[in-house]
Amino acid sequence: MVVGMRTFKKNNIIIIVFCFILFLICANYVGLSINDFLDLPKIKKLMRVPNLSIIPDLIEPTFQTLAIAYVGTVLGIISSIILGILASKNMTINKVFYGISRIIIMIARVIPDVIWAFLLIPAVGLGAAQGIFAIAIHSTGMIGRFFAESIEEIDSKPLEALNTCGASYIQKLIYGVLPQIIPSFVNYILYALDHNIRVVIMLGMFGVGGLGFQFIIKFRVFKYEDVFGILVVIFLILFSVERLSTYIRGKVMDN
Amino acid sequence: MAENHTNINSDFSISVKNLKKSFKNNEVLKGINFNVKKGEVLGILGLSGAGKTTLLRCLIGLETPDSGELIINGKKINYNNKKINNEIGMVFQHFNLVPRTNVLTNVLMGRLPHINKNLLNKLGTYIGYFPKKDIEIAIKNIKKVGLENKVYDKISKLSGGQQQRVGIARALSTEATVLLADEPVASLDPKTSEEILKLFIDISKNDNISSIINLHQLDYAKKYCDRIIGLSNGQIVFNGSPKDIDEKTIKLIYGGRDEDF
Repeated sequence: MVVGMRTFKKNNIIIIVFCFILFLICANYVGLSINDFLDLPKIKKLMRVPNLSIIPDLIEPTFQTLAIAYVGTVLGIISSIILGILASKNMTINKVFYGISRIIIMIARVIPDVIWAFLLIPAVGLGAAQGIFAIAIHSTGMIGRFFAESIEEIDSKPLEALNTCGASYIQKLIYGVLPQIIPSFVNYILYALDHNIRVVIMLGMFGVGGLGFQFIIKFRVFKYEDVFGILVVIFLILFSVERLSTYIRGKVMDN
Repeated sequence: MAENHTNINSDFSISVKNLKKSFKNNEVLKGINFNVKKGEVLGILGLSGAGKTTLLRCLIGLETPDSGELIINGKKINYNNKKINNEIGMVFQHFNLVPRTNVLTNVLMGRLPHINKNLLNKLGTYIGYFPKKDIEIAIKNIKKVGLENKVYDKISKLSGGQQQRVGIARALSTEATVLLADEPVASLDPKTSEEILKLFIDISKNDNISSIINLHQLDYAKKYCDRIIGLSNGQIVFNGSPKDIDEKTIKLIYGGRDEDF
């Protein structure tokens, strides 16, 4: 006699059912109804043929957005490398540096970049510096943590060999740690750049300037053709950045 | 490194006296005594866990012994500072090469004890600069291990045997008078194992380097070592010529277990 065997565990079914019930409760709590789903196609009311003639006017804001993202990311990477090394169990200098760098990374990470942009207003006012520091600080939290984790995951055996050769701390970092972490570092750096370009576009609506600022002023005066023109530019930027990232990743992996 | 320059037993390149090492409550080395003559090849045999690796790690300074004396070339080594002993070079079971770099860069690491004596040269390594003289010595050693065609090859492109050749070239580049090898051929196939072991011992003999080799295979030890020490449970149970190894000593070293050889 063939007896059926239950392959799903009872607990797993309970968890899935629980998640679904929680979803219904939350949706109900915020007032999401079936009608909202039915209304979704109305998005096309906004659809316009993109006005591409505004593209020449967007060149400067585009460079502004890219420059802010690049400068902020570079600053963030520099501090991430330093803090990442100090916050890794195997390469930190001592417990005090370890603890302090962990705390800095945590604070920088848990506060979202948009909120950093607001917190920075008393210090640097509205504008490019506000955006640069906001993404630099948040990247430090995000990338610094990733850096620390990838340093902790390296193979310690080459470092042991360098020890027997009398390598100094910095020589161990350059010749023992760096070659091992380059692929993941490059990966995180490209991810940070891509993420930060999106964030700077968004921050443009909160005083930082650049493409996001153009977007919000055109939107407020209902110039939807221009809004879609801006979206075309944003799409092209992010698409090129993604292609470039893929290309660089491929090059690094080959080596 | 604080060294006592009174010459003691200068016939020996290494003298180990009553060396002890425990990890927590586990006494791994229970008072080890032995000497290595200049240019001698000493093989250490023993089961896994007998303390072979710990012994070599204590000698080079990767572990700090609890007590005991180490005299290298007549100089007493102070264990209390955690510095690595630059008169000793080491070859590892897993080669311990830095991945994603080339053969030359790995071998140049063996030059660091000499490069770091000069602050400018030391700072130079931080930006990837190595003195010409050190590059020449590194390439000379790469030739010695037969990899002259692979100087700029990436480590990942090399076979296991070739990687261990790089490991040997790196250890040679330290110009240490004593070389330690911790199971240098344990992760290689039998044919390559013998090739690499022979290369290591030929070079040691040629350059009058004293060497201590942890080995798994009794037949290699018998064939290539001048003298053999049998380690069991952190104690030396045999110390003599390969000729003197008989059934009884094998039982002593391997505790009657014969599946290891």
